[in-house]
Amino acid sequence: MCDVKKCQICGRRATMFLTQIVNGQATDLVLCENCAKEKGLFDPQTLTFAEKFFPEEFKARVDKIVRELSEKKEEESSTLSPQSADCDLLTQCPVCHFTLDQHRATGHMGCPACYDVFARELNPDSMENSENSPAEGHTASPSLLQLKKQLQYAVEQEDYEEAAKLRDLINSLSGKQG
Amino acid sequence: MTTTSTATAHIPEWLFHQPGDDGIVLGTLGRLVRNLPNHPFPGWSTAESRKAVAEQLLPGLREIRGFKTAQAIEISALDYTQRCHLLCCKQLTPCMAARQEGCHVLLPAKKDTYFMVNEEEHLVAHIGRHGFAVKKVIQDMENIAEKLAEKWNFAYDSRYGYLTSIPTEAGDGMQLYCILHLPALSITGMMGQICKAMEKLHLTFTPYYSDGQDDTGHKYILCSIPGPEDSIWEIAEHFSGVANHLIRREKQVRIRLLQSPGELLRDNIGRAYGMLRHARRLSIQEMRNAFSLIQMATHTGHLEWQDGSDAMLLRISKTELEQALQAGANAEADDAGMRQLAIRRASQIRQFFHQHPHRLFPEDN
Repeated sequence: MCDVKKCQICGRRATMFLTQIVNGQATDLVLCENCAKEKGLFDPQTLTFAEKFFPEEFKARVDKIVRELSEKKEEESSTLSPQSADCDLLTQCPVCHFTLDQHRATGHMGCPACYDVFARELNPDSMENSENSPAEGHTASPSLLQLKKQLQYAVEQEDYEEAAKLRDLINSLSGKQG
Repeated sequence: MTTTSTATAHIPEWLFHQPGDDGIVLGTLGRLVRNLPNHPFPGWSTAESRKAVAEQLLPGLREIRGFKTAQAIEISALDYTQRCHLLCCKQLTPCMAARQEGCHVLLPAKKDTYFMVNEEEHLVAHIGRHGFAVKKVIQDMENIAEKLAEKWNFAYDSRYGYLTSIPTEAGDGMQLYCILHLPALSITGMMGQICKAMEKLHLTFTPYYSDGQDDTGHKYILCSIPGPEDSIWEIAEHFSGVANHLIRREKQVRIRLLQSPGELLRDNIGRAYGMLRHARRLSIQEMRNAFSLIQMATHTGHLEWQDGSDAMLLRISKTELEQALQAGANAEADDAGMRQLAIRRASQIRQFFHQHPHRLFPEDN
């Protein structure tokens, strides 16, 4: 029986394979046509041109996608909750009457409340966090994930003062949530 | 109507070549978007809802420093020509230009920052700066975002960031644009491949002139793609890397073309000059392409102007934009009207060269 590789993002049959060296290790990027298009990595001929014309930028872009995929995998394994399957999927926003079909057809939202109504459509794995995430009004504090990204960026930029502040903030927030 | 005409007559200087620039990057534009909770996004709202959003936002925007006397113009009050003008000057987006009731643009007299109310999002700020000024534009966007946050509670979700009508664009609500003049890469036929390659780098790259199909004039807009995963500073790093790479390549190709035995670059400049100097009928596309090469020739010293190259680059840019505006205003003219416009344009350009003494290829003498 032939071994059909699955897309690392959606699990469909993969049609695009890219091998990239990340941190000295060969990492495979295996995507289906749709996900490759979404990530801007379809069309083999242009890929070759992009790789030759913008070698550093192209490498950085692929590295980033590989990193995001491995982060996503880690998050999924640590936060998967059986309760998420119990959430009902509304098909129309009660605030603006925008429907799920319209969202699927246009990729748009009708109003800010649609983000909560169609949360499962947007991000099926994060329903368990939805209670802590009001869609209305300004929330001054960013998420832990955003803070961690900011910390990583500050370290890369060697902005250690900022990194220390962010580390303390992450620690205090982690304490509260734990 | 007089006040509206005055506001739409302003041409922002940040879009033009300026003294001391590299002749490649014209300007950098930042786009900041915010939405109010409890209101449908403008693309899905009624005129009443848009009006309610405008009533909530406009008085507060006027309290921001520099906007007290800014004119808030309802888009439905603008005629076709005025919309074309604002579109060409990047003071209006194509989406906004097509809107009607309840949609406003706030244009201050002395600032290169504009607000649009009820564009694709409830509030959109455009911040234009001359040259390659990514850092400055982001700082300005952050300052404005801070001022706005003092006045309104915008729709925000800790999972996605600031909510937008397109979920993939939610995040910090900031986007970067850079306007690049790339004649050498264009005449060597590389732009098609570069445009496609940009998709692979998660950036968009489109011709400057707003209809999208018209890539004449060798001017392009590099645009970052926002998203919840990245902060604007992360995006800026990648964006600047790609932009700098393009600038380097453009310079390299210019040098290579100048050194090539076939004299491709000088031939192109000479032909463009001849056309502008002597043509009796000029289409807007012919004029843009020829002016682009004349601008490059001024930068590279192949065309010397008695008034000085810096002053002339600004004049050429303005003339080009004025012609583009005239063409936009006459876009729906019939064949005879277009012919008359092409004749008038050629005459104006000949006059332009006649009025400004110059010398082509001074290195030949």
